[in-house]
Amino acid sequence: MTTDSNLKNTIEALLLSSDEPLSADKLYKIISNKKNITKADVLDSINDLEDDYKSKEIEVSKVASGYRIQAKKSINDYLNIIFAEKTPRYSRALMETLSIIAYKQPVTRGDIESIRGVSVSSSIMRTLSDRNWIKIIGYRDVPGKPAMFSTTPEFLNYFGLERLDELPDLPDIIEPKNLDLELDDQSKSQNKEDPISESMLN
Amino acid sequence: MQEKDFNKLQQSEMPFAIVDGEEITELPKDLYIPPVALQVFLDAFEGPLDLLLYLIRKQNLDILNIPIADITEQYVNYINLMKELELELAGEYLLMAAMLAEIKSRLLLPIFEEIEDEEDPRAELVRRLLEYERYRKVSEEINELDRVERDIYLSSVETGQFEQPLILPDIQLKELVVSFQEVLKKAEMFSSLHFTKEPLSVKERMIRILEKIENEDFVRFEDLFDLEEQKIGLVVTFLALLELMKELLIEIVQAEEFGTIHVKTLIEK
Repeated sequence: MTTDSNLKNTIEALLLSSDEPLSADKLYKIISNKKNITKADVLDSINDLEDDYKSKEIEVSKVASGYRIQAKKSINDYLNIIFAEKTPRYSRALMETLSIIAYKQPVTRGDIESIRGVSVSSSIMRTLSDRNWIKIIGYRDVPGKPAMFSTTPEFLNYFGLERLDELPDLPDIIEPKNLDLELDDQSKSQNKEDPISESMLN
Repeated sequence: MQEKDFNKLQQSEMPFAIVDGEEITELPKDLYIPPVALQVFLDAFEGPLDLLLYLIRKQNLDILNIPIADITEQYVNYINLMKELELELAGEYLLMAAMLAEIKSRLLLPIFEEIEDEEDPRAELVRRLLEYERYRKVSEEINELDRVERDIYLSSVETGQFEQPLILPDIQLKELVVSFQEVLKKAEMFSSLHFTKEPLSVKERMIRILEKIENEDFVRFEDLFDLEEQKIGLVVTFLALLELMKELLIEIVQAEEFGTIHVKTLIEK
């Protein structure tokens, strides 16, 4: 049931006006300055708002930094036309770098380099920082004190996620034990077939 | 004569081209590929591991069972091609070539049975290839996730312009010291007789403070101190705060005289 349509309308306007998602805590802090409400009131109003939107083409979505109002996917066909030229594209190198930071955080540039086998591009790191997707969380206590990077809530917001564990699962590591076994067998048999050893036998 | 040829051609299979009057219906095997096209192809690799994975996958080879001799040869061919085209060859590509050559030479050595612990020379390379492939795969999946600006469109309304000037007074060091003394006084009420020595690093404390305040607009100065810590811990926290201030990572503000002192992060979110 509708609790307080006034509060609901206030929250709707705040979410629509804000550049970034607003958490229930933040909404409560902002509104309780002027009005006597509880945090439960805020959550109830958000629920009511969600109900209101059932018949519309917009929805309330919860991401890492809080709630935001976004268009439903059902009208993406139209939106894609409006925004076609504004869609930024990201290179494979950037996505790989971002993935390593996301799954292995906190990581240093060295960690990223040793996985990708190439030196980390400064322009990629700058793009990721400019977009606020990564940040320096501290410095590793080894010679050179390399910066350690982690992802930010803004990164999750961008991909419509609430928590890091909602990212796709990282493929499993193949058991090194099996790996060694196979390699051993293989290298022995390969050595037998080696043309050099064969010619030496002849 | 030319016209006659032309008529004849139209009746048979459409040729790709006519060279010296001869019709060509099949592409020559040694077709010349302009260097510019190859450059695009080679630029597509994200590094030596990526190039190796491509070579392995192209031939449907088992990554756990790489024929090192073949792969090394192909890899070096690509490298030479890149050199011929005068592409700027990143050092990592040469390093990988050297690593492959080393593995190859070690595989050629006879295996002594008594050395059981000796690892297959390829193991390290395979480990790196597999590890890289995990992240490569998952990055493709992340690339497919719904994202703002492509699949998610945010709704907003325009807000009118409004200004809200906020003048924050500078605070004096002595006020900070007075505040700190109050913290020390409070801490005395919690004092007990533990004498275990804790290794306390100012650097580490700095990071902990940054973590504590990063998602907050303002944190009360006192809240950054854990009153159950001994005096030395509180001093470390205080030093860390001063150090953070010196490095312009935080800002310390006091809204009014004798008011609460707040700490605010300066690291952009």
